[in-house]
Amino acid sequence: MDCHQNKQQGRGKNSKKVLLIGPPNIGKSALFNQLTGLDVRVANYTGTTVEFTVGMLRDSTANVTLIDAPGTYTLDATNQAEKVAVDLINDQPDGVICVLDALNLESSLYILYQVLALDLPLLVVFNRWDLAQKKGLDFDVSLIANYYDVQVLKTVATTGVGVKDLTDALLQMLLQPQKSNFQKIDSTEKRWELAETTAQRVLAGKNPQHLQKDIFVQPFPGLAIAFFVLILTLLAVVGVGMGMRRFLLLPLINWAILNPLQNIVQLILPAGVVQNILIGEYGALIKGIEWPFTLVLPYVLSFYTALSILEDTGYLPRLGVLLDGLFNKLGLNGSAIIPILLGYGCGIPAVMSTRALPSLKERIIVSVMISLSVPCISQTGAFISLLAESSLVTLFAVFMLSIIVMIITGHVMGKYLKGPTVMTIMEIPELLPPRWNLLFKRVWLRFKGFVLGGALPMMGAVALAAVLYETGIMNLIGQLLRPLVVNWLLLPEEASIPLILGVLRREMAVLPLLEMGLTSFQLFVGAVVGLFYVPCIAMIATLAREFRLKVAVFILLLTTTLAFVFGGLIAQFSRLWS
Amino acid sequence: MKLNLKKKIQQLLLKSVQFLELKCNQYPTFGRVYYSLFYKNMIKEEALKAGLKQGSSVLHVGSGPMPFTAIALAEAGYKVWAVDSDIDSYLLGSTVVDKMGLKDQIKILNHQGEDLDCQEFDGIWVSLHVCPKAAVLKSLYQKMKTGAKLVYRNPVGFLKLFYPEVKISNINNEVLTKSKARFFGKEIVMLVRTDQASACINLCNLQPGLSGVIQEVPTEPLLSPLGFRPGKKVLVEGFEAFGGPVIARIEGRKVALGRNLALGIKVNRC
Repeated sequence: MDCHQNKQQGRGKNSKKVLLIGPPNIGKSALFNQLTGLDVRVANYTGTTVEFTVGMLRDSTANVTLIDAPGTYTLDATNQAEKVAVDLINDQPDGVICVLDALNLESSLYILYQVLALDLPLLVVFNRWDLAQKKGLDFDVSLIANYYDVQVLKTVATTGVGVKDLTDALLQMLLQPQKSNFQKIDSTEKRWELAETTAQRVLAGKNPQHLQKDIFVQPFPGLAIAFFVLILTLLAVVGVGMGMRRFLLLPLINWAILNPLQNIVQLILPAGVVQNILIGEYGALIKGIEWPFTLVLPYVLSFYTALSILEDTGYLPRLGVLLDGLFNKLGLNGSAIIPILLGYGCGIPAVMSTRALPSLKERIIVSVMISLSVPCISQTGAFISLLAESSLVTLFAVFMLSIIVMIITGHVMGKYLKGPTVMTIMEIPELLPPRWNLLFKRVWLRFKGFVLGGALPMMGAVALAAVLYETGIMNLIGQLLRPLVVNWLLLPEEASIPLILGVLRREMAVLPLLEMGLTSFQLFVGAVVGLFYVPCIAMIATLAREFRLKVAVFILLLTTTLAFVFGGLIAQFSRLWS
Repeated sequence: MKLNLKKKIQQLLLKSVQFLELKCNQYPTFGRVYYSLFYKNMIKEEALKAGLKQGSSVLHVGSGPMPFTAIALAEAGYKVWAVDSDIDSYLLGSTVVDKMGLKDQIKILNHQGEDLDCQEFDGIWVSLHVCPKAAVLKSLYQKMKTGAKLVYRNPVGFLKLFYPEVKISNINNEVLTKSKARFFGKEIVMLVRTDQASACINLCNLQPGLSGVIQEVPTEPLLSPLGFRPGKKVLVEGFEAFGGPVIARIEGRKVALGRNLALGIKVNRC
């Protein structure tokens, strides 16, 4: 679905490259958005940014390319995402903005020393200055500026305070690069020693305030709360989505688009193959608009609203911490919950976000779990339309089966894949209230992404279906797949259509079944096959790029085989039953 | 009167356990089942938790006519001295050890627990039924060497009626660590003999709400930037369910640390 990283190429070769680097979850991406006017994804947990994003400095005539790097505590590259950042800074950028955490001075100084040692033109920014002031931890930044001969600024990226000064200072620095007088420190211990003494001097006795006890991470009542939060999220996503479809989008689109469109086509074109391709059973114009906008879009909106709230408040890492013990039994870290939940939106960003996991083993396990049994939101929308109206029990059964298979997959792979033992180190971010303007913006971005990256390809797939169907090619394929579809899965011959289209897009493995008048057992079989079937083609490409082709091929074979094995077993079992 | 009855039941229970173990002595198959059900894994786990090196010398007080604990310890790779104050138990125990060919690994002595000199042992196991338990534990704890581990069992549930329960505070105020596991109605308490000056425990030993000053940190590159460095004060907020991580507050941060990592972080309580 919407899987586009916002990347903007630099204006030619003489553009100056400036890198933003610093610890995770302190607002580098938010600052980047302020500086460039782009909309890179931000959230309240470490490892939101796993890839670099490039954008042009706005409000200036100068040709400056900014690069937003993934967060990194040190330049020692402890996971795939941190490695991206370290590679970027070793690639000789024209300048570096070291974005530091005003709330954690010591560790900020440590990474500053590592950056200073690289001897690049440098600006230092302390972000989250508002929080530092609120906690009484604000300090005199000129002290640090004087110690190391660098320019130091203060910003609040979420509101844009200090961004104008930062832009000016950046341009100034690029015109007249200054070298710092910093003496390189070789040993880690000495670097920490210096960071500690410097921080003490700068803070002059100010101590970090004591944090509050947090009921969301205590096993009691945290686990009970987690249970309610998840149930509530599920109900809200499904309920709001269904409501939006029924009372808003379906009538609106029927009235405003589909009916007029049908009339116009009937007026212009004579009855026949071409008319059928446009408005027939798989009419590209009818189903091609109805499916994406009334079946999938409502759930895209409700899901991403819910997910954004969970991401923004910092609840997701808490969920990860609560469930860490259980995840360990699958050979995973609690933080694996984040890619899995993202996967219920779209598998591609989910697989990318596994870069923040500590080991390759964990990345592969989570990616297989997502590819196999986490339906993306488009497919979930399709399931709800397909099943909820005939029986809620079947819908529930499909999702339970997906969770059970996910757990078994994790367990088996955790046991047989080689890799380091799981080590949990997770920083738990502060709980923040959701910021509604940000939330609105993000859901709007998702909407835009869906229309361009989801709805259009879906219309294409429907059009392809219409052509195949009306030209009789589908019949041929249907006969070819007859033993599999009719004899083994006990579905009608035309159910081979979703199997072909499902390779292109995940929801297309389910949606065509809507029009076939299936019994509830057949619906269940169709849904199970669709669930475990090939993750969409874009997902396979992502897997091949993130790992190796071998992994992608393995996942392709595994998912296809399991889909037919599970679907067939259920079908055959139901035949014995009746 | 009531006290008398309790004493009687206590004695009856002790006798019946003795009887059961006697049967084990006579019927080896029954004994093996009983052993693997109640002892083998429990003892192994305890020894692992105590972190004793292979070949360390350990003492078992109250070994009984069928010295299962001693056998399990020997199988786990330790040199075992086992004592029992009851002469019959001592004699029967020795014959079992002879029969099993464990004579080199296990030495059985007839001795009172309170009078033992236990300077040389790295670990001491005290059985549930040992009597007078508090006195034995106290004397052992005071005499054992620094860094040695003392493992004993407290009754849980209905067993409380028949066996004495010893709270840590009853023994010694210096005691710093305690880890619990429940197993068939027994609570396992593990103590480390520490000197005030070098009172070193790990992060998992801190009870929720207590804090410590870090002495030693394992080599994991993410720990130091999060504040886990020697000299830093850390507060344990709690432990997650299902063997999940420790929630620690350090400086301005809240961090979840897996138990395997937290075990390697040595702290002084403060």
